[in-house]
Amino acid sequence: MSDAILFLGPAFVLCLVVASLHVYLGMHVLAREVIFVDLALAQLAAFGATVVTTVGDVEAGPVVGVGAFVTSLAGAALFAVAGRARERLSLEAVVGIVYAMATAAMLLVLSRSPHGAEHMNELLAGELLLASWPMVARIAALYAVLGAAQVALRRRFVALSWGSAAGHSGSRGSWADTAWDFGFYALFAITITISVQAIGVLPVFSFLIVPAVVSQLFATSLAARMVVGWTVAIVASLAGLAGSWTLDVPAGASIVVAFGLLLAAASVVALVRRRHVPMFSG
Amino acid sequence: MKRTLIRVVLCVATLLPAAASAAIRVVATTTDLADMVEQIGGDNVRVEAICDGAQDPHFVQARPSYMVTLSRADLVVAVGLELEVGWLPSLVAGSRNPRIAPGTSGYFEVATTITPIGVATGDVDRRAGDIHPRGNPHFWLDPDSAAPMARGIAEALAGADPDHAASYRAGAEAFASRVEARLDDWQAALAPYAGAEVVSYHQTFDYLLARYGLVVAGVVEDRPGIQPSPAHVAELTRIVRDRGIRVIVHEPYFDRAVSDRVAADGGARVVVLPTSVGGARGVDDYIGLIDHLVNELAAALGEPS
Repeated sequence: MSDAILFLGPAFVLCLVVASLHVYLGMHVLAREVIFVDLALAQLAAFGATVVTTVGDVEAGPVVGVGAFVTSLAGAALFAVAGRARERLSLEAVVGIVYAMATAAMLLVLSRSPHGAEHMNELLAGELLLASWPMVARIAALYAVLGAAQVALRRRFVALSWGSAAGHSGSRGSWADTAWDFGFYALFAITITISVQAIGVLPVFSFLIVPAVVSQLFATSLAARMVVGWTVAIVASLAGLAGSWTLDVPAGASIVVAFGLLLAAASVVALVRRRHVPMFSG
Repeated sequence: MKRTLIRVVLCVATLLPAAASAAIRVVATTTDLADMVEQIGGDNVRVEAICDGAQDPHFVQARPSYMVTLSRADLVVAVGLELEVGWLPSLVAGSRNPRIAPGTSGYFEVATTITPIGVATGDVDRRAGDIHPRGNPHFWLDPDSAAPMARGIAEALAGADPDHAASYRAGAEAFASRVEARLDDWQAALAPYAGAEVVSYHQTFDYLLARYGLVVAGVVEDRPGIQPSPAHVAELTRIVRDRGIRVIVHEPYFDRAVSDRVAADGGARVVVLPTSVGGARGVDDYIGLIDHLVNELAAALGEPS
C-alpha cells in the first residue's frame, strides 16, 4: 500500500492540478458547444512543435514551445473570428476541420522526420505514471498563474460563453467581444498544451468534458456545478489510479474508463431521482 | 480492496524467499538479455524482463508494476544504443531507485561490449538520418556477439554481487561455448545462400543477415515509424521483381500490409521472424532463437520459386 502511495502520489496530485482548471474550462467548452476544441488546439500545438523539430532540426527546448504556442494561438484567433459568423457557420464544424487538417499536416511534416513516431508519442501521449514531483510542481505553478487569469477575467468569459449559447442573436457583433473570445481560446490553448504533454490527449478530454456533463445532471448554478465537477474528477482520478495499480494497466486509459463508468452511474442516479419527483416540476 | 490485500500479501510473500536466498535482483529490458542473465547467473540471480518477446522494444507503455520491479532491482541490463531511449530513462527515474541510476554500476548497457554497425557518420541530418544515430541496436541477433555480450553481463553481475564474481565469469564462458558450438551449424545452413538479396521491413535483422553474407537490397519502412510513400513502395517492388528477390523478412509487431503488397506485386514471400526469445512458439532461449531464425531463413531462401 505504501508502494502505491509512493509511486502514484505525483500522478494523483497532478490529476488534482489538472482538474482544478479543466473542470471549470469544460463547462465553458460545453456551453460554447465546442466539445472537441481541446483536441483541435492540442493537435495544432503538436503540429507547431513538429514543424520546429523537423524543419528547424532541433530536439527540444524553448524554441519548440514557441512553435507550439504560435500555431495554437493561430487556432485561437481562427475560432474567435469564426464565432462571429455563428448563425451561418457551425463552430463545431470549424473545430473538427481544424483538428483533421492539423493532424494531416503533422503527418506530412513527420514523413520528412526520422523520429516521426516518437514525436507523435511525446506530444500527444503524455504518461501520467511517469509524473515526478518537480514536474508536478512546475505544472502547478503554471496553473496557478493561468487560474489567476481565469479568476480575474471570469465575468467577461462567463458572459461570452453563456451569452452566446442562449442567444444566437447578433450579440457577438463587436470586435471587442471577438478579442475577448480570442483571449479565452488563447488561455485555453496554453492550459491544454501543458496538460496534454503531461497526461495525454484522452485523459485531458475526459477531465474537461465528463465532470461538466455530470454536473449538468445534478446542479444548475455554476458554483454548484463546479463542486459536483471537482468531486467527479477526484473520484475518477482515485478510482482510475487504483485500477491502474491493482490491474497493472496504463494509468491514463484507466482514468478515462473510470470517468466513463462514473458518468454511467451518475446517469442512472439522475434518472431514478427524476422518476421520484413529480413531472413538469421544473 | 480485496485485490489490493491479495497483492500486498503476494508482495510480502515474494520478498521473503528472496531475502533468505540473497539472490540479486536483475531487471533486463528484453527477454534475450533476461535469458542470458539467467544462464550466466543461475541461482544467484532473479531476473525479470520488461518487454515480452513479441513486443516492439522501441515502445513500451508504463505500467505500475514496472516501476515497482525497478524500485527493488540491484541491476538493470539494457540493450543500449538508444533502443530503449523512449521509455527506460523515465521508468528508471520513476522507480526512485538510486542503485540503478545510469552511470552507476547498477546500470549496464550491453551495447558497450560490441562494435555497432549503421553508425551515423559526419554531420547528422535528422531529416535523412537514422532513428539511432549511435548505431543499429539490434546486435543481439548476431550470434558472434553473444560471447562478448555474455562476458560484459558477467562483469556487470560481478559488480553488483562481488561474492559470486567467479561463478558469473564461469557462467559466461559456459554460455559462450554453448553458442560457439553451434556457430558452424548456422554457418553451414546459410552458406548456400551467401550473397542472396533480401528485403527487410525495419532494420532489425541487419546484423544477422550481414553475418551470413545475405544482402539487404531495400527496407520497406524507409523512415522508422512512418508509413512508406507510394513512390518508395513502387521503387521497392520494382527492385524485388527485377532482381528476383524471394524473401521479405518482417518483424512480428509491425503491420504487414505493405510487406504483403510488395511481396505479392514483386513475386516474393513475407517471412515473419521473431526478434527476441519468446517471440515465436518454441523459441525459449537464445540458442533456440538463433536456431529458429537460421532455419526459417534457410527454408525460405531454399524454397523453389
